[in-house]
Amino acid sequence: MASGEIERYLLAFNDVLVAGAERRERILAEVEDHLRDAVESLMAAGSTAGEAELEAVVRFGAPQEAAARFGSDPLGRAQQASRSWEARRIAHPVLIPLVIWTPVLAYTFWYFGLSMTPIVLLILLWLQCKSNLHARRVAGLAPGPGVISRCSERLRRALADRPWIGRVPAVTLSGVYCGWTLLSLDLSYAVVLGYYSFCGAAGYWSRLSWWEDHDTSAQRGRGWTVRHRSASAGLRYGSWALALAGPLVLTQLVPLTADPLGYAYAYALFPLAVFVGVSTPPTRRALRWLRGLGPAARLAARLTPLLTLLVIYAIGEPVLWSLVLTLAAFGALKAIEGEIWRSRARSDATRRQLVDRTRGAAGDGTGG
Amino acid sequence: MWDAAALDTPVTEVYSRAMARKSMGKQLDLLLLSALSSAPAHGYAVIEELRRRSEGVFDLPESTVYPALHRLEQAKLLESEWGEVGGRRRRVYQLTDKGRSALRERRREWTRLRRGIGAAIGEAG
Repeated sequence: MASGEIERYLLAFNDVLVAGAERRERILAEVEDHLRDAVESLMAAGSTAGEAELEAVVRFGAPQEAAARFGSDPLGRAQQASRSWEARRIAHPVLIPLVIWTPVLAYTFWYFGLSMTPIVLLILLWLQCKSNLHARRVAGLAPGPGVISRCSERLRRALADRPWIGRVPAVTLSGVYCGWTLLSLDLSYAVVLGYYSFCGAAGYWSRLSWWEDHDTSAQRGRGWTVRHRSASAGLRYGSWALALAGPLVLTQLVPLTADPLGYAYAYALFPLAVFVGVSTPPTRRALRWLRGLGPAARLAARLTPLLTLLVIYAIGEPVLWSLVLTLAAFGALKAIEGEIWRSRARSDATRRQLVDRTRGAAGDGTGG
Repeated sequence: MWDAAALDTPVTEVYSRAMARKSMGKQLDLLLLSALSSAPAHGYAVIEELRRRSEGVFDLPESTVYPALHRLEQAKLLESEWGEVGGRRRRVYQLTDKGRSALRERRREWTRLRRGIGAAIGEAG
């Protein structure tokens, strides 16, 4: 009868292997196949199952040595680093903002002055909450507003049932700030900003009950959320149609001065690019495609319209290159963070499976 | 009493096995490419084939082979995919065109090296 030696070996091997999730899964599968083949061959030669398993793992080599032979890859090293962060969770909410937010906020303050800094800070806070929440969800941890990671389980569960805690202040303050900015702007640009704020709000409202995964939330389908799929679809398609038509409609509605390249509608193209980047895709197929992409590819897809537009304009106005570079650096950092989280979550799931199998094998061994 | 004759054989054997292991380690890529030249195979089959071809001389730890296969795949000398072999899902490796030409090149190098060493130690050619 099997002794569970292979499962124990795989678990030990997994724990010392430095590899990203995808490579880890492949290596583990190959090692397991190899060990099973060796066991079959040894049993055919007359060994018992227990002896064959022991002989197979001995022949494969000590887990530390065997794992070290596979070397390490950058994602695996980063994943290990993030694992060590978990032990010091308090560092995470501090380090991530330091690395990701600081250059963006410094640039915003330098380029736009104090007026834009608060709204950029809010957007960053919101994005960070979202990515931390997602990371906790995929890692199988109780989701709560992400940056609050060191709190009691009871408080964490209480927060998980109230996902609006991270969102409502950001949305409210952004709204107040946008309103205040609108009042202080030239009427034409206030109309452009108001138009796209309306499109964004309609698009965002459409997703509250339809696509948002609030499985742990009591808020799903309650309160002021859109409950009917057709209403949600109407809002979504409407917001996209309005947004896409924006540059043409707005140039007819309000007098916009020519931008540095001589095109009046460009002031509407920038908010359109932001809208395309942040809003829910118009169709289910597009959403499925977007969700099927990895974090880095998804972010690239989101940022490409805005970056392309900025590059086109930076050719005519070189000062914009600094914005292009800052945005690209921000995107790259967020992509790396996302890939690390995804890889780590997959690796954690792999380890959980191995632990379960080892326990199962031990149970079989003792039970028999 | 110390018996030199009794110790002589095992020491020589151990030494020659260690040398063979070192030499095999260096030529592992060539061996793997050769083992896969006849037909695609999964890792365990490659190891068995190597053991058979080397008549038991090749006894590197089995875990050495997989990193080497991965490295050769990264170098585009091999390609691999999951396939069903013997009722189980396994990673099957096969030579690429680049791998075939690399194998030819390395065989030529090995033959040259073997001839050179043979000539240097006075081995009858």
